[in-house]
Amino acid sequence: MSDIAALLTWTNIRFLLEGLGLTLIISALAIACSIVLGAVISIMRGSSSRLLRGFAIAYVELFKNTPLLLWIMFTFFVAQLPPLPAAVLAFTLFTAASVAEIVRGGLASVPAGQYEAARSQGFSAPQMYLYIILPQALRNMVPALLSQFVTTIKDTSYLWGAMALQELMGRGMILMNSYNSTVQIFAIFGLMALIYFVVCFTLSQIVRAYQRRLKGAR
Amino acid sequence: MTEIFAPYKWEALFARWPDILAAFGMTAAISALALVIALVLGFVFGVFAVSRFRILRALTRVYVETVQNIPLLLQVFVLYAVFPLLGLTIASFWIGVIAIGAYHGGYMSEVVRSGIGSVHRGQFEAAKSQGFSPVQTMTLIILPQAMRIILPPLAVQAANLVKNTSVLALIAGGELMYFANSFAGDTSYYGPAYVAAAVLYFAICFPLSRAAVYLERRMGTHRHVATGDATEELAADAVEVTPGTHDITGHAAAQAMAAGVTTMVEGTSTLVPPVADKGRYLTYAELYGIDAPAWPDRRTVAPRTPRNRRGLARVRGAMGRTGGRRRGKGRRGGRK
Repeated sequence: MSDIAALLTWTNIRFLLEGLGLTLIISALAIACSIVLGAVISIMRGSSSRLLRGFAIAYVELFKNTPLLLWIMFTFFVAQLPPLPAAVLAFTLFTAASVAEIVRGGLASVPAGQYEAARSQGFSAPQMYLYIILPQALRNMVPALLSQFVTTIKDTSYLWGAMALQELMGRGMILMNSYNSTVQIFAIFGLMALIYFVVCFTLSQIVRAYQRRLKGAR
Repeated sequence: MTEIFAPYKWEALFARWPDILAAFGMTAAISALALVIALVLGFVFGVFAVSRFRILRALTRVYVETVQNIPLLLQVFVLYAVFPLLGLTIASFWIGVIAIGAYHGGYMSEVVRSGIGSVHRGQFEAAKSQGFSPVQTMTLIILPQAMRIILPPLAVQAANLVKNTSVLALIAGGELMYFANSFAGDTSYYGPAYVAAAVLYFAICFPLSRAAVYLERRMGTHRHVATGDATEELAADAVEVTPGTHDITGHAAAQAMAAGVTTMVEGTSTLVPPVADKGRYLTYAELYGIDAPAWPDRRTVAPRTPRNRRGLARVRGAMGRTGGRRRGKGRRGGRK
């Protein structure tokens, strides 16, 4: 019991929560960047130029069919970036492929009449997307994007093993160096699992609630 | 840049071809066994999720939420580092099979659940009326029909499963990613190692995700499949299942999000004919685009009544809604 008491000090908990902070920062940055990149790719996907379309398809297929861990290694070891940028870049590249699909689905979910109406009112293409289409498409995309955020949060746990970034998983592993009785290791794993679960579960419940509301609005 | 991919580095890599092959075989073996586990768990829990026993539904919820909301790597580490403390040491190969199988079983059960939800309610009733047992109903009537909805996302899950075997590199799993890492670490020839790994992963995953797209297209030609009353729920699920990234391809996403609304994408609107209004099945003619059969063409079904009507009315009354007030008015009218 004293083992557990020694472990569950405010210092240690804060140590873990700081790790969670880094996890969330990396995930948020990656999602924000990949929304931009994903939108660009999905626009390329719909473009009339064959070259752009081919590039977009190749991009999505490449990242959809190779593991994330590989890209983390790639940005860190091959591109030789410092850990944090390497992590954000790897996640951005990888997630952008999924986001591109989500954006494509979102754009397609806006009824054709909206495009026609916008054009008939003399909106230019950027105006049309900015003021008419995207606000409606975004509403439909939010649940999928949030799910993607959950996935990204879970996947940041690779970063400790790959490049020793001290996110939540890494911090837990560091704690295990100094607290290594059986009970303490149980507790640390339990604590990490609990923190991940609380964060991810909350987000996925938000997704669900939002989806129900969307369904109601429809 | 050229230095990273210098020819002599490639030569060094290809000199290790037996090891590459072994690692590739390891990845394939782990994937295949994990896939079997995932499929079994997925179908069992997918059926549990629509069971009428609350305990089974609760069990499924707990399983799915646990597996989906905790990182795979953490689950792998629990088997790798915590179980030995209990005196249970598992080889990293089997850790991979078990952990990855269980992880994707959770995602697959969600897929199966929404597939079952897409089957017309009448099919359950018909099977029951013909004396099929619940198990027979599921295996002989419902699942074969649900298969067409289930298969495309299942193929996507299979591709994800293969990709996720790469986490085993972090516990020295001896598979493809581990080989790439250790080769790169030993020789510092990072470029070729990771490119080769990427190519090999792509070689397994690409056919799987193409199969998903193919199955999805083929499903689109069978428009009567997606006309159960759970259409809307299914549509929402297709997105909801997404926690596992790429669970939906753009096509399915459009279909799911539009849920019967005419969309820009050609042909998408035909995929999910909307259920006209709650509680009414589509007419035969609407469903199949042919003339109505001999029986009454508009079968109406009363909207499901809440089981505990009184309780509901009481709640409504307490909330100051219609239930309480209307009763009051009625009584007053009676006195007059």
